[in-house]
Amino acid sequence: MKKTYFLIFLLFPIHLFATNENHLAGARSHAMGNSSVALLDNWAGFHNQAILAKLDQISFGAYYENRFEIKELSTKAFHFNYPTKLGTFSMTYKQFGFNLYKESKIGIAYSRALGKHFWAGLQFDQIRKELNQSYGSQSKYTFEAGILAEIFPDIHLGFHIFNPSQTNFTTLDYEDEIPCIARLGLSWKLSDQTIITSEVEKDLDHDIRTKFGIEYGISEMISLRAGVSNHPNSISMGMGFSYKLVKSNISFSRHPVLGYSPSADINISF
Amino acid sequence: MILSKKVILLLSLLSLTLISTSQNTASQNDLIENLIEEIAEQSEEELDYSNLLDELNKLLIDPINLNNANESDLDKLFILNKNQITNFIKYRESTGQIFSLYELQLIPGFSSAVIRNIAPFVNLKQISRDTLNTRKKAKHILLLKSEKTIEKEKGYSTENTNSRYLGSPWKYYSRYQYTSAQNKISFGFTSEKDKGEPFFEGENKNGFDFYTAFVQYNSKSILKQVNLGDYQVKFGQGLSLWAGLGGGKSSLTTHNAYKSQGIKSYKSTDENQFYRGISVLLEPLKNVNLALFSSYKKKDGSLDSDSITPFISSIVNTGFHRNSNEFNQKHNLKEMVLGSYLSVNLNKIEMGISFLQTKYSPEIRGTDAPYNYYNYKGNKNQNLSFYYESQYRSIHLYGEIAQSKSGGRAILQGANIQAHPQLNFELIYRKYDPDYHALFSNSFSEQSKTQNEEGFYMGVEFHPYPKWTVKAYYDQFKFPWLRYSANSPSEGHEYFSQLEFTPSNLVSVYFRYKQENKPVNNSSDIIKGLEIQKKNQYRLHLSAKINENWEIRNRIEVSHFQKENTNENGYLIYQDLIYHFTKQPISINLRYALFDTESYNSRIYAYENDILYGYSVPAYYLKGNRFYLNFNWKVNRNLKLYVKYAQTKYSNQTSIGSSNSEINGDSKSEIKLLLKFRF
Repeated sequence: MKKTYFLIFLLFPIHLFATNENHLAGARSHAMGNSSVALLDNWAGFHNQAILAKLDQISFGAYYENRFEIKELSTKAFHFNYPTKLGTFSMTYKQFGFNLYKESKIGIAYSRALGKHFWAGLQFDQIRKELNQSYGSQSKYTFEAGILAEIFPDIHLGFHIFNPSQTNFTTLDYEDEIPCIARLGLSWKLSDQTIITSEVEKDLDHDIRTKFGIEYGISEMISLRAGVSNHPNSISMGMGFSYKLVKSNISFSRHPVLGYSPSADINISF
Repeated sequence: MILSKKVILLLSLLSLTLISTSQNTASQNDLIENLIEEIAEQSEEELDYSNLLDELNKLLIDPINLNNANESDLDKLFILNKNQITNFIKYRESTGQIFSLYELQLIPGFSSAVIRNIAPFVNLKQISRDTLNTRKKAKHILLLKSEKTIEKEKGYSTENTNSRYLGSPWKYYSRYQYTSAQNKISFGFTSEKDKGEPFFEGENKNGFDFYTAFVQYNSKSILKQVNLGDYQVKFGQGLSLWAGLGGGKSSLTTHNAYKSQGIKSYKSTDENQFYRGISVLLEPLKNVNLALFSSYKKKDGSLDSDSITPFISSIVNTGFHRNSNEFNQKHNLKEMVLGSYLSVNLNKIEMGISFLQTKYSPEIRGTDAPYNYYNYKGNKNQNLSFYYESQYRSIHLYGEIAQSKSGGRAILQGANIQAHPQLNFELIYRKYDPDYHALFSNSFSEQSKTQNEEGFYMGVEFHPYPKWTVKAYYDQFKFPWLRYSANSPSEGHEYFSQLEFTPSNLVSVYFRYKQENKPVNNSSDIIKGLEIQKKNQYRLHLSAKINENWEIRNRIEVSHFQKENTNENGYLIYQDLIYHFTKQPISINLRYALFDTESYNSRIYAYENDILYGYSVPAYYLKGNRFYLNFNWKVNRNLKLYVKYAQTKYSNQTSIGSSNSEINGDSKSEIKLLLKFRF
């Protein structure tokens, strides 16, 4: 069954491959239905760079996602955040695919506070696509930007835009677009243990997506997460473990037709 | 903290009078509505809610005293989930007596909406006064009911002798119940004759078409409970043993954990969902329960034969025996059941195991249709199941796993988490194999059977501010094998959200949006493939108690149906007026509803007030109006009278219904009468 779907991917690669996504990473966000545009998280370099300014520790981490449990559709990502007095600098790297089809993205971001309740961030990206040898490879440069505002105590509003310049890959016989995506969302920290998030995402060429997420810390060390999103309808769940410097998260999401996508990450912050 | 507690006490003393006078039927009705409307929408069959209503009514007469209620008492409230109950008991342990319902708002998971819902079913008697009140009397209840559709249906006059109704268009129902003073012994019977069924004539020489009777003995010794006659068993999460109504998805979005109820005597009129025989419940050790039960009864089914042996091609659950066609199906299937369960309740964890063996004669075969491929066939079935539930901090975990003789399995695992005092959420995963057969099950599912389904459910109840409630659920499901209306495996989802505003305990407004996407067969004449069927519903509902005499309820609902090239809209708008006389124990209840839908596809369901123990959730469709009048009169301490008259008038129809139930003309009206004696 999975093989058949995989064949279908190969026949219609454009929309099902990762380029029509926002290049998200981080198992915590994944478990919360990817509603992370206003969520304080080490992986904010993939969600909303403005959040990076709120981080106060140096952190680095690695992420792995296995989409639909197919080895060839796996994502690897890394982040490194370095907060300074001037603001936070961050570097992110993400790679998707296998030897016949590979996408990668390198991002360099800067983020800082603009007042007591307002933060902004900007990131430059290099996006690279490698097909097998006969088709060669291509690199494009674009940027993304985000803002975060604390509109009420413990309620944050985030806005993020990816590729506003609508940069595309140049191809001969088909359109290979890098999507232009805007996201707007809220996170509400009900208590130290409990956060709820929601977000709407609009890709210029696709339906509007709505996402919700919940996180609940059962103890200092363990938290539980769940999320839903539509277009495609998917449900996700996950757990987080934290021990001294190390934080680790696992999660999975379920596509109604294509099945499960597990993911995991590990982070060190000091 | 101490100061704030005092302030609350003061406030609550002031408001005590307010709450006690507002034992309002509005919230009581809202609750029943919430529970029943949703179940009715999802079920194609007409269900029997009388056991549920019975329990709620029992609570109205004899409310739970929150100052001495234990966990199992609170379970009866339906509206509270395990987390709320645990939090409540914790609160009561730490603060002692509760003086006002408003005080409950301090407990995690309780909002003014929840309190408004439970208010009619609870009281706050002081414990000391309560002990004087133990001398209870034996209770007798007798109910007599009859109802009739005024217009003649075609079945009464048709020329076809096989389908002609043999009895009168009146429905008769009677029920008697005795409960001894110490609640040690109870017994009773229920009898019913549906509309069109013969009465003391023809096939029904003994009078009613359906009789059920029970005797129940309770004691505090090892022999805890004995049931003779008709009873129901409700065990675990309902994967193998759950007779009668289950939960189903409803606007109580985080209340989907079932609570094992054990064995209960049966008083309802559903002619199939019960056991008939004897059951014994033993308590050999404290908190250990062992039940043994056996049953023998006959069910309706259509009998077929393959020239050698007869077999049952389908089980008929309607319980109607109005004409010779229906009498030919009566009691064709003999069912023998032997079962047992063992449950242990430790402090933090409760678990149980059950075994059930069923024998049928003649054997059940079903039709050759592909969707029937995995359905139950044969004359023997066995079910083994194991369940557990546990409370860890603010997490309530529950689950069950079951297997049938075929080897098919069913699994359910759920978690209810009180993530924050104002935020409760619930996650449920279930996987029922296509070849899992449990003929007495009724578990959390999208379909009516515990079979051929896998799904994830997430529900949330959130009280962002004291008077506001947000409820939502999302359910994603998959059917690994064909269904009756779907010629290939399929998947779908359902989404529900509701925003509720309760400015005071007299007024409540909510807006609801519900969406369901589910593939069903398309209308092709050649090869039927799947087509997504989308249903959207939008509802705005207000209920308010204006003063001592007047209550109102308003609703506007829009439905949208989409499939292939069909795009349909439906509208329903209604006004309820409820008037309680101050001098007389009389109340009158009136509804006027206008509806306009393009067809049955875009139908809208709405719960109706009915006579006691009655229930109706009619589907409003086509174009027309409907009104009803309910009249309740408490004649004296022992006697109550309930009357209902309802009429639907269609503006664009010359006949209503089809085949036997067809009525010539544009209106259909109904009258119901009920007398209740208590002595």
